[in-house]
Amino acid sequence: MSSEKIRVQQTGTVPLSSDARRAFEAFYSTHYPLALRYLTRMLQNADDAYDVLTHSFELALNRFDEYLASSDNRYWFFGILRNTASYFMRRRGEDRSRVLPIPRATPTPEELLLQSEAASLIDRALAALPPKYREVAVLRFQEMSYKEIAAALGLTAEAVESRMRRAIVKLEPFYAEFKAGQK
Amino acid sequence: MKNSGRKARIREMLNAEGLLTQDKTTPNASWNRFKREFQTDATTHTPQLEILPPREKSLARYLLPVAALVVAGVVFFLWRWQTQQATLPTVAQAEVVPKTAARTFSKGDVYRSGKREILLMAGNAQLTETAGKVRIAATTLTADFRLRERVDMQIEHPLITVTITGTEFLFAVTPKGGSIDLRHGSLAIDLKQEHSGRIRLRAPAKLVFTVKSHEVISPDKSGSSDSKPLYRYELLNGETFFAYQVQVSPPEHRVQLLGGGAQTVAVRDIASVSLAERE
Repeated sequence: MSSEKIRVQQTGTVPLSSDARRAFEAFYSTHYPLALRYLTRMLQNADDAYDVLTHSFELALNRFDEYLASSDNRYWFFGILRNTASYFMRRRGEDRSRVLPIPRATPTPEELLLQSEAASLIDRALAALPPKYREVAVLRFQEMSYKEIAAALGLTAEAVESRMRRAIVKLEPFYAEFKAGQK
Repeated sequence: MKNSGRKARIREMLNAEGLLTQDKTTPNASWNRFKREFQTDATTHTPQLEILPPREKSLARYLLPVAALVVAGVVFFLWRWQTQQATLPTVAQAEVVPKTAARTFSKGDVYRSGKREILLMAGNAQLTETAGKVRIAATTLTADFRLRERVDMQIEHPLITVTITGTEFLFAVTPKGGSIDLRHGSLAIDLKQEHSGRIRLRAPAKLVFTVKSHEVISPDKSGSSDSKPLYRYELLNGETFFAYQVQVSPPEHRVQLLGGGAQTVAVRDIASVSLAERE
């Protein structure tokens, strides 16, 4: 799984300038949290998420000139993430049997029991969503607005809302189960 | 009942997400707790980033050894070539013999080269040697060609071109015509003024030509031999000629030369006498 360092290999022949290196480090710090949350939920496997994230940062590093040259680059890295993740999902053929529980920060034994049940429910819920609905739901649940999601995915806000509606319909049985469990 | 409960929950979820009434969300504690389950706290720690420098391209890695090998190969090849050049025999080095200046021969001159000998009796000739090839240009000339070894020789005359590879003959020409009295070997003759093309003369034979015609006279036709056998005389001084024997005695041989004329040869000067082979 995640190690203490993320190593990204620079390609090409000219090493990165110190300014570009500093800019990329700042870029990495900014994008890492959301990118990891997105990939963890999309791929439903922490190891896969980490691998895809490392590869995405490596691609970003070697195309960093594009990022620096672009005036609107807020969701530039998100495009790389989506493409890398969808390539990865296509390659593994969306194998549900590989779904692993998501690691959480130091839970108590009771929480662990509840979380494992909840995690199981969430995993099943995510697995029930087709990827295009799943990515909208995952981003929405990360407190992103529809406009932001639309910008990140290159869709219209209406299309994002439509996908979210369909995602909600598919999530309803799991929400019902969740509510029953809460009582 | 079950279906209405499902519809109510969907409405509740859509409401909470602001998807039923535009820009208006209805807070819902259960839905918010459900949503939080989707949020992972795996982002509390951001690992340190390490940017690895570009790898040396495999091509660049092997470029230096490959270049060194190529240079070594070239140096070795040049060294071998120079060594071979140094050990080559001198003859091989002088494959192309430079053209020598034309020499003019006139009456009384003798050209000698190896076993070749040309005696100029009248007129004159320009002789040029290039890469072992001898070219003789003459308009008026009487010469006895005694070529006892193979030679690449050509005689250029306004009326004829004679190609010789090694033979013996008497060559007598003027601008209006002449004769070639072949004693030994063969000659290829191109007649320039006539359309007869190339004729091949085999010894013993005589070619008589003018501007307009030519005639090859065999010894039988000449009437000089009376069907006598033709002999090849080789003298101790290297001279060779063909002749019919008129009288043979111990001290001397009286002979009639193929080209005409009589001669008496002392037996002590004769190296060998043999019947001439008709070619």
